Amino acid sequence: MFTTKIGVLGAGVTGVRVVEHLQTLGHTNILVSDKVAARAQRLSASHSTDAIRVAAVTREELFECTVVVLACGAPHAHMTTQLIQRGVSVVSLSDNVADCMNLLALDAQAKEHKTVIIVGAASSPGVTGLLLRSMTERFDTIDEAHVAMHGTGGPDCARQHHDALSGQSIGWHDDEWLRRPSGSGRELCWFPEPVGAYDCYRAELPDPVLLKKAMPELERITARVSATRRDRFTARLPMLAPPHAEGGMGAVRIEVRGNRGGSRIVEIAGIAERIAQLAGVVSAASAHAIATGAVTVHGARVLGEPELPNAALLELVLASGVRLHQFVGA
Amino acid sequence: MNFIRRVLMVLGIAGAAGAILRLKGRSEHSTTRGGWAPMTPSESDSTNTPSTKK
Repeated sequence: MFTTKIGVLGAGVTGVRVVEHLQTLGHTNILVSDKVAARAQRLSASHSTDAIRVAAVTREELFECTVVVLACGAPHAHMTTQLIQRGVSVVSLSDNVADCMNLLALDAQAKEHKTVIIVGAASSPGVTGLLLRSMTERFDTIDEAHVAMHGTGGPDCARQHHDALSGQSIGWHDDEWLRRPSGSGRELCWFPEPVGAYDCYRAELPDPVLLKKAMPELERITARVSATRRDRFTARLPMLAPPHAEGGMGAVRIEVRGNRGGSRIVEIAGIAERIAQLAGVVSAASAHAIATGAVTVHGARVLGEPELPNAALLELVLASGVRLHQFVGA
Repeated sequence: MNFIRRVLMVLGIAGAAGAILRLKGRSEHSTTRGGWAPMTPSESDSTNTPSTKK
């Protein structure tokens, strides 16, 4: 059992999964805060037991924690600044490009306060970095990584998905950042069952920036997200209908290209899971690693960086019941 | 009045053409054959495992 105080900001679909997984990992002192106090209190009431304390607290009380998981909508940079200045490490699930860049810019400040910020510890970005690092072992050298994602977590994630389809995508291509309109670059991507094939498009996603930081030797990095015709047609308009409480079954895949034994090799790994569940598991595993001292470095970090215990984190993710698949026979 | 009509017509045609170009098109197949099989991550680099017991 671990009695270290771990905070969770956001008691929505993802926040609940973070708390549940922290409990599974043996944490008994969890503080939860949400802009809707009743939501945090409901989560506290439903998850507290005689042995496990899940307390609904104010945002300021999270400053007492060792590590805080930001499972609320973006932006996270402002709250992260406040937390690291008080010596609290942060696990951010933000998938907003500008927000992720702002979090990475806090690197020096985090080092100064001897804290660590794990940027983009969700599904994509997040588990994609862990998979990339794991798949590197199968190559002599790698030079390309292409990520695709299907589905959304809670309402904030759905709004972010909607906005991502109306911005400018970022991709790394032969030593330069390429910007292309979101919604272009259609590619039919196959995800593990039961998700199957979906048309995926470029979108304003932070994966290329974070994967480039995790593995600077990559020469080409792209990120796509699945979208329907209605998604693309209405991307530049406000959301016409309120998002669902939780998206259905989602999936993430990463295609890695490189060389092995003088031959060109392509390996594809994928996970089919509810996006909020996957994000919750990855962020809880990251928070657990920080709280137990397995992360020994400071500064702004992304999953997949060689200084982090990536294999151990992926092991924790898979131990939670997430199934990893590989595309074979192509 | 004619000018406004022409402008509206041009905007309408441009909008319709843009919508068609955005919604139509051919998918580029990333992979065309094969299937998914369970995968075990490589076991190297498994040092520094965060323990779940204390």
